[in-house]
Amino acid sequence: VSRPKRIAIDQDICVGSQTCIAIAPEHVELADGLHTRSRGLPIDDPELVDELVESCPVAAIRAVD
Amino acid sequence: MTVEPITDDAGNLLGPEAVADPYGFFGALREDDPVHWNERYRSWVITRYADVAAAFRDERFSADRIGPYLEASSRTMDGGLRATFAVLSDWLVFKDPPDHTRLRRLVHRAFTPRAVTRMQERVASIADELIDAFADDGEADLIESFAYPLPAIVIAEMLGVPAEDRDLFKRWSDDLSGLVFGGMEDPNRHRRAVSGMAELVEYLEGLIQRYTAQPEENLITSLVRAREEHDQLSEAEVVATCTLLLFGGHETTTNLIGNGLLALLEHPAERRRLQEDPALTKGAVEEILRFDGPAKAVARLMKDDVVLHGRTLRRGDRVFLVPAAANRDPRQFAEPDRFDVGRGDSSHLGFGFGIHYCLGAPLARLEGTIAIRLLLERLPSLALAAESLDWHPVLLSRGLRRLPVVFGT
Repeated sequence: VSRPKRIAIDQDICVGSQTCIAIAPEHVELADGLHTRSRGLPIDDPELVDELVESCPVAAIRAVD
Repeated sequence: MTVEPITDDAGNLLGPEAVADPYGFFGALREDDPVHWNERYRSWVITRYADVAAAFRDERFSADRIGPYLEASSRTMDGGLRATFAVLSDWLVFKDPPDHTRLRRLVHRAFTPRAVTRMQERVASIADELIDAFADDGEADLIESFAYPLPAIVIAEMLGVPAEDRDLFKRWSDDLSGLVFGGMEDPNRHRRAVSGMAELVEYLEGLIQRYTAQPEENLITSLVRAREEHDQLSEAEVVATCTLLLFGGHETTTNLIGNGLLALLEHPAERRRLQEDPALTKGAVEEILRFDGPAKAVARLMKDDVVLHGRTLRRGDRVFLVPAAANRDPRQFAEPDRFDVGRGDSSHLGFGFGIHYCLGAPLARLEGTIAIRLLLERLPSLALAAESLDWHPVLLSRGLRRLPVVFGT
């Protein structure tokens, strides 16, 4: 069983497309009206982690342990 | 929303001077009148980086400018034009949330950086084949022979459109572009768009039927599946999304490649830097997007009143956000009029910002990078063969009609 992961969002790269919020609003939120940020919660579903990482049009999201 | 051309040339955003050098024209507005009311087009023109970036993120600047127009004018509008606007009103670029969110989620997977990276070899192979076709001729029009067919073949393959049909959809796309990109001085733009859209829709409906009966691994099949299995989009939205992907999938990238090659031809020192260090190409594409990108302006419709620099933009007003001016704003970029392939700054607004950030940006970046790297590598002596340049006279997009070059064989 893999350990739950979290996601981290690089605010310098984020362009605020909010695709990640559309996918998992329970894990991502708008930080400052411009960029998105992780809520920092562990994500049990590895497919959801992958989907969030892949969803970003500028590759600003990465999975972290 | 329809603006009849007037004879007075003052404030003509599509006059010869503004079309040839939008950076001088809109740059002057940016410095002197950053929230400018243009009487000729009865629109606001916003040109400073901070204001354009903020507007992209502000939901009061609505992308849904077709729906309200269709609603207000449908009684008086000719049937063909109504049908054309009806298709456009289902394009996700003209939608606000929640419809925009739903439609974008259905198609974004095909365009993510990871999905696009998997296409790298295929894109390079298509680019090589295109160069092969003219490499021995000593001259070429790089728009016709390279910048147009490369992204057109790629998006056609992604959708499941036979490559041999690309000349058909080039004609339909050309017909549509006057309306979509704001060719407002062309009195025939409505007629041409009606004809182009009708033929494009008829063609795509045939393909949709084909892939409904015999599914294959392509974007049309994915959209059909989303319609049939998950009821996530309507039949009209399937057709509209196909027209958007086919049109949007090549028009802007053609201009990215064309404008980029022109910038390199006109800045030989920067071209030499790239030829000596091809690893700079990815960054050079970002600089091209900033310096002379394909998105000159973006239209929005005010959903609420907003006060900006002491001007009140009223609900219902049309606004042009001008990335071309914002990307040369000295408040944001040092020496903004200098083309520098090593600038290393991708904060330009060439793909927009916020929820409407260009869906196809990763693909456009990949195609632009491969196209420029391969062309400079294979035809190192490339030189411009035109005394004057012929730009498309449209407001929202920036692209060349032709890019004649000569080269040693």
